[in-house]
Amino acid sequence: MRTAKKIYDSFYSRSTILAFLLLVVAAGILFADKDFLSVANVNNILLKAAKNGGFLALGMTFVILCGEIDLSVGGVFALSGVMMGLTGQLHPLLGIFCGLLTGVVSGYLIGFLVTKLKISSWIASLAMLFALRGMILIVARRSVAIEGSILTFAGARLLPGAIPGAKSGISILIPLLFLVTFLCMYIARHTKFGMGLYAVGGNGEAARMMGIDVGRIKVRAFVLSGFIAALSGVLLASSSGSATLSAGNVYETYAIAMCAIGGVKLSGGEGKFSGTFFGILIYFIINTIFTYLPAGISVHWQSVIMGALVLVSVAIQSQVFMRYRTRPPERQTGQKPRKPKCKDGNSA
Amino acid sequence: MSEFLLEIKGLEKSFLGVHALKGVSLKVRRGEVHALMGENGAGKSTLIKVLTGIYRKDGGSIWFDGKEAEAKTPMEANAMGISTIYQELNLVPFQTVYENLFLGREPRTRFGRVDRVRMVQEAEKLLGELGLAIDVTKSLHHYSTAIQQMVAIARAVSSSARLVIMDEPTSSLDTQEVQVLFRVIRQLKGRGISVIFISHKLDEIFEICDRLTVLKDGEYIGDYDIDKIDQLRLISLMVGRGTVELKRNKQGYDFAGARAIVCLKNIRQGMRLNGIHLTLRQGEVVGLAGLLGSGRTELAQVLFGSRLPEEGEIFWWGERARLHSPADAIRKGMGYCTEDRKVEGILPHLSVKENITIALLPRLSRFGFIKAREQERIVRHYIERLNIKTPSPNQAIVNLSGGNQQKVLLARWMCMHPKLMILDEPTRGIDVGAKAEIEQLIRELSENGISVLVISSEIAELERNCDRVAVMREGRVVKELTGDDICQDKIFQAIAGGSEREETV
Repeated sequence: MRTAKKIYDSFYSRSTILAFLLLVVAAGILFADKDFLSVANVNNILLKAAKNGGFLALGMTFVILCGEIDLSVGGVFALSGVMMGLTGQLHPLLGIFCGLLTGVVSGYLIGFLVTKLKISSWIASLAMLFALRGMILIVARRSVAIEGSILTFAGARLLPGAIPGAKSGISILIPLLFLVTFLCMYIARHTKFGMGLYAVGGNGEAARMMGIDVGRIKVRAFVLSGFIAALSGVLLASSSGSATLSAGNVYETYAIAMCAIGGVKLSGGEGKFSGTFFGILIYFIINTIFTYLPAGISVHWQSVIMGALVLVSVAIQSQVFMRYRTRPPERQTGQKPRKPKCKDGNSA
Repeated sequence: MSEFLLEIKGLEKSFLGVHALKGVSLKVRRGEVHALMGENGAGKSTLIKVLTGIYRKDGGSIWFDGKEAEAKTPMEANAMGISTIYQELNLVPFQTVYENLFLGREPRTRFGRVDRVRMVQEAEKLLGELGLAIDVTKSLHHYSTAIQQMVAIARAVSSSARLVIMDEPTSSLDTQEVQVLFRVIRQLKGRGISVIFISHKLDEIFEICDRLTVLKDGEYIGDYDIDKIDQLRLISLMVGRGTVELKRNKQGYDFAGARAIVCLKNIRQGMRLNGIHLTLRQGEVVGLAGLLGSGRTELAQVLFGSRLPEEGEIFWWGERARLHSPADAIRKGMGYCTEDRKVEGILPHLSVKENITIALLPRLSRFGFIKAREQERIVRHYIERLNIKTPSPNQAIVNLSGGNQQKVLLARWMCMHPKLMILDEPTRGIDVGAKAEIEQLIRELSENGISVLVISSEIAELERNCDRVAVMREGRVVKELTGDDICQDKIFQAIAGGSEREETV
């Protein structure tokens, strides 16, 4: 059993962890003068990850694992904070509840559109993203202030004074990011839903024949993704004391990039939450390194470089995994194998 | 309790105008291995799909274990005790063997989490009982198709299946793996589990099965004890005797001295082609006969470059040819009308005109502009010559009947002026009139010195049109018939005869 666990654990995220370690060592040496590996800087990177879409990548992983995509998370991220601020004026707990509910409802709606109306999740979640962005502007004209001790719970800090460079203490967002990661890992590995997730993404037809309710699994994945995005939005608004209307703009693309770096296959069925977690870390380490670069390299170039890095990391992983793949089972008698090369395409 | 586990009577099923099952019966005893036999379109897979709840029946009755049963979904069929091992394995390749065994019915611990320790133990036990000792914690795709199949069977057995349906389980197994599978099947038999076995390999049927039921064109032909029937009889039941016009259009054999246009030597590929020798001469019409799965289509694909042989050589006009892609074959002067028009032939939303000239475009254009007048001329010529019934060349091809679509595909290749045409089931699913026209066209091609290789399951059609018929069985050409030797009886005998009368030219 122990060896089993070892194989299982090491399989997908090995290359991601390797990349992570390499990156940390390289950055540590190259930027030693900037104290790259200092506690303060590590705290800084983790805080960035927790505030700027790290959570979204975790939620996104559920959706991608079952073979779908969720482009709405950036919208959920912003609207949930705004909703919390507005309804929180009635009662703070109601505010938190409504903030989180935003994500659940939006996730459920996408799940419904995808599983019942058979709309592609690209379209369904894109439409939801537009709708959410519009909703934000309908319900609020300007940033909403988050006030009161309950609503600003996420502003709490742990161990004040313990960390050089962060005198007021560690933001509770950081341990929460770890906690949510562990919860996701647990769900993926130790629940029926988790096993079903991989089966649905790996071979949906087979999953259906095995009596798995494919639709329900997908709906749950979307709800989880929406919930985690809303949680993240609530936490950001709560810790910063205001909910901005443009929060989380294009974060859905960052989230997908983090998953891809983390070795989660966009085709579904392959990938792990530990991988996504390291994907998040790699993303924000690189992001931090950009701030060390000479001022001449503009934000725009940073984006170009980030794009290239995502491509390279995915390319490396697909090369690595090529070796593990066997050729797909041949289609059998009666039907000839479907050839991608059909005579029409090759006549030139 | 009835001696039959499964009793199907008078089963009816139609799809939009196609009567797929016409009062079919099937009776399977407890603990018996029962073969379901029939050629393409006989209704085997429709029958299986009705039985397993994928389709709903239109009429008739299904009795399972003494109760009238009608599964509405595959899950219901499973719950009743009917499990199916599909051709394309319904397992999740990237999950482990044990996960695949227990997906959807995972054992849980007291705290509700899935119990992986127990799953691993039970998976090992289950596979052990079937004589399979493998590491169940590896992902399924590490293992061969045979092992994956055993896992599928183990899954079925452990979900207390009483009837296991195996749809062509041996088609991608080698001889040794087949023996392992048969050992497992005998074990199932020993436990009183019934098996419905579908295969096109007759030797296997006669080795493992107790009884068989023959279907043809959606009709029930009969059921037989395996020791009361021989291969020849079985084949004639499955293929049936053509009653239509048996007159041969050809006499004698005039091609003994003609130049060989293509020559295949010892072609081997996977489990489908086991050393093919075949020569086609200029202007000759050669038919490929054989049961489904005998390697006919695969042979055509090798010739056309869309399937690469592992061994063997192809000579084109006596010179060794490299055929690595259909583009190579087309450049040499081959055309291939595939078996499945819809998937590999027509471009449904393009017009008749575009469908005819798509392969010709490189020759029809200058600096990337299509020579419209030239195109128009060619299209009109072939529409007229092949008598394609279309209101205009600009009609979308989907709106044409099957026969006219087929003629458009023929035109597509003919306007390339090929030297060799490969026609895979050219008359399947088209009406009698169009059939006659296509047969006429084959003759014209041949008269113009174009060689034609025809694959057809209708023996009568081969008999009418071919100068030579090569009979295939299990990936080999077992017999070649020319001239007046071409007749249904001899073809049947060759199909049934198998390896002991192996002949190569």
